[in-house]
Amino acid sequence: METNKYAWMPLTKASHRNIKECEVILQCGEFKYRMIREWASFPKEISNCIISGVACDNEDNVYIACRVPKYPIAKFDLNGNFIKYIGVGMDIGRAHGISLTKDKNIWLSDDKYHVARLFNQDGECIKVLGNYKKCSDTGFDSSLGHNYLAYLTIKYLGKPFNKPTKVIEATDGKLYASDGYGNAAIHVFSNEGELINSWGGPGQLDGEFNIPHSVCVDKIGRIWVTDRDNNRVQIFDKKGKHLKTINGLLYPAETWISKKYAYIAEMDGRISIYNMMNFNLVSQLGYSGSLYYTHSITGDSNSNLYLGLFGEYTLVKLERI
Amino acid sequence: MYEKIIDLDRRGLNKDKDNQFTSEEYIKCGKFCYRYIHNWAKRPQDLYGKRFVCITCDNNGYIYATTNAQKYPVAVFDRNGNFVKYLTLDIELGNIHGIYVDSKMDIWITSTSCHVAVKIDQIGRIIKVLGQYKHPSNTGINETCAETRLRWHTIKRLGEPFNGPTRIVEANEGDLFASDGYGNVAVHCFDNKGNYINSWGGIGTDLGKFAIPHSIWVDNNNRVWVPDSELDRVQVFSTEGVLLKCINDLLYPMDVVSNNNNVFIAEREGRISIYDMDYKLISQIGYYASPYVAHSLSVDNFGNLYFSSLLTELGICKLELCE
Repeated sequence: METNKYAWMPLTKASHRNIKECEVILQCGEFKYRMIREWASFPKEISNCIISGVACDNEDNVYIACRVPKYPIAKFDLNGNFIKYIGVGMDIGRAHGISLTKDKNIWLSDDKYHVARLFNQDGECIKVLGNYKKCSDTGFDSSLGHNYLAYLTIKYLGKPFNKPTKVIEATDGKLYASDGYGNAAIHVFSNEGELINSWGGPGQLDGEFNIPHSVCVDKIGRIWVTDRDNNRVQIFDKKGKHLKTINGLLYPAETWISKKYAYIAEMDGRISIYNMMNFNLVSQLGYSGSLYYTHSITGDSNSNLYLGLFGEYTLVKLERI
Repeated sequence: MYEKIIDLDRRGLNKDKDNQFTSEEYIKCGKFCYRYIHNWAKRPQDLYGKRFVCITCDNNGYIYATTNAQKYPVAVFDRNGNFVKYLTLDIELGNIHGIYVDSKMDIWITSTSCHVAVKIDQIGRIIKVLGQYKHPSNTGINETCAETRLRWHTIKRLGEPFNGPTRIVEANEGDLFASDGYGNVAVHCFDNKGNYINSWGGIGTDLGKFAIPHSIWVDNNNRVWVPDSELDRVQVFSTEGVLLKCINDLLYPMDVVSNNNNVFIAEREGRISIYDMDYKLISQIGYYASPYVAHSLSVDNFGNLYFSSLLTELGICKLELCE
């Protein structure tokens, strides 16, 4: 049960209107951003929704995965104007991570129905990975629901899927899935959806996971896995060979990688920025306990960042200045 | 609604969670630009998990705060945030609220549970007590009303000093003005020797009346500012109690402070509104759900703002004035 961090109930956003608007700047080293709190105009069906994932396409349109029945995905242009819904009417159990393919189709994972669905721009579901409403056997005790320690009941690496968190398409067309709240796996599929390989297993050693919360691929084909409850990100080659671990994170939720940097969003309130080639930490925005309770992160071609937050603001843009 | 996975009580205080790189946060509005520093005062171990209640500055750059730690009612920090000393007191004062350093460097504090205003020196010795110790004045308030925030509705009359006094401050000639308080609806005036002069106020939403006068401040023009939190307003009086101005439509104002050029009003919803000396609003620092939630506010000689955060773990925060 969420406890309110305030000892009182704040007034609503609508009643709190400054007569003089102020500008908030976040800065660390050469990274400087203007924080834009209400960047997108949400249509009424998804106002105040929980955002579980964010992604950008190559035209800098921003896609969000909303936990709203029947309205799973919304698309906005680079100025925050709403363009359209994608997948209206689709019965999604619980939306989680979202990503774009090179054909501008959208992968959305569903961590309640144990599938990932591929939508095209017209909102049609053109592919499904996993077994609808059937979780794989990993020893995970699903009766524990959303108890945050439930992952400790996972006993072994299982097949796809048990509460999958994200699916992405790599440049060679292969699909990588982080799986998930009820499993400790990274699965590799062909573009058609045939399972090629899986690696992982519950634990804290190299190559093991305690909630692989997200996965992404960098420009030289390395696979970055956000290993949330181990407070780390692990980097592998395409075949699953462990290359590097970045430790010292605070509940990392997702990583977004540009040409030069890896931006790791940490749910405790921080974004840590690393040189994506040599893994050096170069900058940190926010701090433990800040309002940036970030569950998802993406960026556009101008290095602006978009944060999906749990909290009073759900979609915040950090505009690079 | 969300899976809460983070230990709220330890956020912001655990060394393991310190950044390697300091993230800077700036907030700009109009000609004011501040750098926000959360948990700025370096708390000694004894104050971990404790709350800073009210705060004030002296003319030498020291910051004084009242705490809810019974053993350490007042803590003092220097302008770099380093802990300097505690002031421990000879009498038990219960819930300590407002604090003020006068022109002689003596310190006035009020107790909302013992119903007194006490002047102490820099080592905590009691110089003067105003009000009747542990004897609240008779305002007709129903103490058994469970909802503290609504208790003021039961007040029947303006009472003599004190019933839950929130702060006492010095005016330019050394006279004292006290906001009173959680169990009363008054501003009281005393001379510089502590002799009672008069009171004004009364219960209600009319001009010149109060719901809960949460704090008080006298600016360099000898105007008495009283934030009336429950009614979202700040009323400004002459030292004789004549109403000069009522600023409405604030968002739960908690405290007021001023320097030569500006008056600063701290609003609980996460904002500090800045006015010029003609009551004109010139800047607002904050936004919905911002961390700038102040219970009490102070300004130093350089224009830096300090506040005791209503989010306990954020401690004493600083808004450092930038060029």
